[in-house]
Amino acid sequence: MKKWILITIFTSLVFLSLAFVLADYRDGIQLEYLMYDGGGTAVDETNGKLNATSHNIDWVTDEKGDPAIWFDAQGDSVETNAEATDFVNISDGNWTIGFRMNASSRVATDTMRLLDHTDWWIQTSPTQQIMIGSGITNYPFNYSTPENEWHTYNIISLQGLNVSLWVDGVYNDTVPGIASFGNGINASLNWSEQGSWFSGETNNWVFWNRELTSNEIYTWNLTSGIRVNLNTPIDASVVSLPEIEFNATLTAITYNITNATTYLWYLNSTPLNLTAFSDVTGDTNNNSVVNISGIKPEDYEWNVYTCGVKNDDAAIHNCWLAPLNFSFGAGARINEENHSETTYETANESFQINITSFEGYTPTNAYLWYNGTEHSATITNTAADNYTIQARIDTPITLGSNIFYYKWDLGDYTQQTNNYTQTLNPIYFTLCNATWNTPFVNFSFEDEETTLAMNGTIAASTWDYWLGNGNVNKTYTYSTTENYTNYSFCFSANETLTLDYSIQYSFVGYPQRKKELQTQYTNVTTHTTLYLLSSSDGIYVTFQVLSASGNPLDGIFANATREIGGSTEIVGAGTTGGDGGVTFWVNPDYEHTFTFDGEGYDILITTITPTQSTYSIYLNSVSGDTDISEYTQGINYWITPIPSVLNNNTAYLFNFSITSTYYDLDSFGFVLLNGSGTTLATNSSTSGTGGAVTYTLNTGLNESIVMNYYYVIDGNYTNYSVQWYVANIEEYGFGLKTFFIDLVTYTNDGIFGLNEFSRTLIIFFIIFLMVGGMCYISGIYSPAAIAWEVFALTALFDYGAAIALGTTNGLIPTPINAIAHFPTIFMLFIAIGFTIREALR
Amino acid sequence: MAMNRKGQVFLVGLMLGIAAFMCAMVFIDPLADVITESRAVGQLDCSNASISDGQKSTCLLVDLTLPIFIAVCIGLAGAYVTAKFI
Repeated sequence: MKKWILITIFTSLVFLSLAFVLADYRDGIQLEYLMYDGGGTAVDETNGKLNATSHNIDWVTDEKGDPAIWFDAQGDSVETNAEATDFVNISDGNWTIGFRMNASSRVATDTMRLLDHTDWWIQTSPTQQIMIGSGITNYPFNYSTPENEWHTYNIISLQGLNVSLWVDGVYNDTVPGIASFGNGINASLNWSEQGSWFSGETNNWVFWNRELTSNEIYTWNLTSGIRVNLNTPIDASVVSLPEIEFNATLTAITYNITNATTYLWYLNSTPLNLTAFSDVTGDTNNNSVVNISGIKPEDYEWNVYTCGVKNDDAAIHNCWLAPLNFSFGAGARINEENHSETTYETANESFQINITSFEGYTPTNAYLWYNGTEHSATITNTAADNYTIQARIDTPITLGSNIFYYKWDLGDYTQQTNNYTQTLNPIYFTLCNATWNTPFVNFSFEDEETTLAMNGTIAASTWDYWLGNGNVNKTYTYSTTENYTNYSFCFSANETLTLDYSIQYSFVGYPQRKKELQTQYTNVTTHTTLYLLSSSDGIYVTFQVLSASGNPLDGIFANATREIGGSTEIVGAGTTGGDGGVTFWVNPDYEHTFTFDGEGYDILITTITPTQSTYSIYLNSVSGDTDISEYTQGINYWITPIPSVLNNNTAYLFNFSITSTYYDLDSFGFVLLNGSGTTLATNSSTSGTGGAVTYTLNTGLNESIVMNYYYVIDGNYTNYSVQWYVANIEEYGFGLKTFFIDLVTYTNDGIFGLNEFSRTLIIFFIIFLMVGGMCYISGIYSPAAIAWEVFALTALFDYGAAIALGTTNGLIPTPINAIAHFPTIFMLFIAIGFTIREALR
Repeated sequence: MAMNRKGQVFLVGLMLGIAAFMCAMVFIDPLADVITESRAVGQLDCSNASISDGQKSTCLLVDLTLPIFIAVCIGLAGAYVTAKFI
């Protein structure tokens, strides 16, 4: 039994295929008036279905000598008397009309009807355009009928929505359809109730109950010459080899074939110097089969240029092309495509396509275009020229059918697949109701101090939820002023749900708290307790979150947890505002753990018993992922003031100078802070090669000054700090410091014409006199003792003066700039040398 | 065991030396006030860079007054103690 069923199916398929192959332009002809009868008042329907009646027509011959009707614009007509239900089943609005026409010189400037129908007609406009008319609207084609020329016309209605005009087998124009096109072709030639008569010759009228294809139009039109039908590669196909066989069928009608040439173009019409000649001749059907090599990945179109001589006059030579070029893409062949036909919004989905690449080419730059958005895809070589292109994305929030396709490069050519579709179903997260009643999470309330259950109010809540990786999510908000013991939230799909929520809850006498958490839930209900703390049991604690340089940090997430009943519970959460502050309502009797986390900063976890109203938190920039030394190449900088101790109530020029010879600086600058972290001044610059940023700051009564200086390269922040201690100048009195300061100031001002050299000379003279005087008074003559005396005085005027003046060098200039206080060090070595020498004597 | 004579003299000398030094230190504050007044705008005006070279040299000497006074005090006290010790 099964055997007969298989045979029946196979036979049906064979006949079906045969029917498809044999289908030609004659299928669907309802009425055909070729006018071969060429005389009399009746115009015969060629297949004997329904002869038409003529009125006052004259019979003539066309340019080929075939019979034709002559309308003289004086009431001549042919009436088909056809009713739609009798002959034509075209209720779907698909039909075709074909006819040949030679319009004469116009005898009127009004419109003239060629074909008349109850609801619509085909006519020529005052500008001789062929147009569709309905009595309400006229739709002219972009074509004017030439006078005294025979042409073949096809008018095709597609579902009554679009009507196209083809002239001599070539597409011309499309206009909107008319609703009554579905009513059938009950038409008469030049039978006008409006008195608008066509003038000219016509024959070969054919009515189809379907739309003809371009090839069928071409075939119907071509009644002489050589017909060219393109076979393979078929139109809009893909080939993946550099050598392709081009196959076309050439039909000699009234010409003998002399030669055929296959031409190849880029699809953008750029000429391509790749052609091949076919070895075909004759007066019957021939197949042009040629191979063209050297094809590389690109979009092409092709045609066969066929020439011949007239079979009854070899002196007449003509050539023909197929009416439409065939296009094909030379690229990778698609073997398999995998994706989920149906999924949910926000779900993470895989899209994969297996291809055989074009010979000698490796696919690169693969992308998935999903609903108009580009996503990167990975390319994996699985075997030889076989590759897998895969992308994973979180599906967007666009319900229904979504279109996507793949793209990749083969050399300079970008190949794109056809469109695929994926259906997305919606997801809903909401407070449980009659529609959505599978609770994923349930919230209840407890007093943190007593751990007794209580009512609570959700003053505000925001729920971001998704199924995939969170790149796409939906948001639900909920709030109420009512008090309930618990709140259940449900999800529409039986999938693992990720929730990122922020919920603010409170109760009468219990200040509002906030909990923020991201976690996953399933249809097994998760019970969560929200802890409330009464007004009498808690305090508000504000954390001031600052950068290492003391700037307030905005957007730092913070949460507070504490041990309740043996488990760690979240009792507060929040995000810092522009002032860097975040406030918690916490119990000062218990130890809490506070976590501070922000992008670009190391996470900080601190455990304290919060008894103060404010705390300062300093976060360090993330540096673990960056090789800081990488950003020191070519960087030189220096800081002033140089002394590490400054005077109070004194203005200093704080300077941060930097040069960068390797990197281009994004910015650089500094922040000046006092010892308690208060910002005193800032300055910055965006000069790429560096420069100096300065600020003159009065030290005031601060006890220390900190400069946090930084530079930014490619978005990477590098910072350091330097600190100055500020001494109270009132405590100095009038010691040597004042003397040294005045001495330097006055000599710099040129007192008695002195300069730095003469000042040094005076100091040398002073040292000389003092050492000489002490030797004279005390009788010291030991070289070691004298050397130590000289060292002590040198140190006084060099190192001591430097400290007093707050400069690098004192009153004795150093001959070697790289070594500060060189004279003192030099004298130290001499003194030690003399001492050792005397000890060894 | 009773301290010998030399030890007693040294101790007394040390006490007297320290007492003299402390008395000298008492004068530092009044002396500093005098110096401040001398350097003030109405007097030498030492902070003004436009004063004459003579005023500037006077300022330098005034600046050295206190260090020299302290050095002399320390020197005399040390010399007295050392003399008693020697």
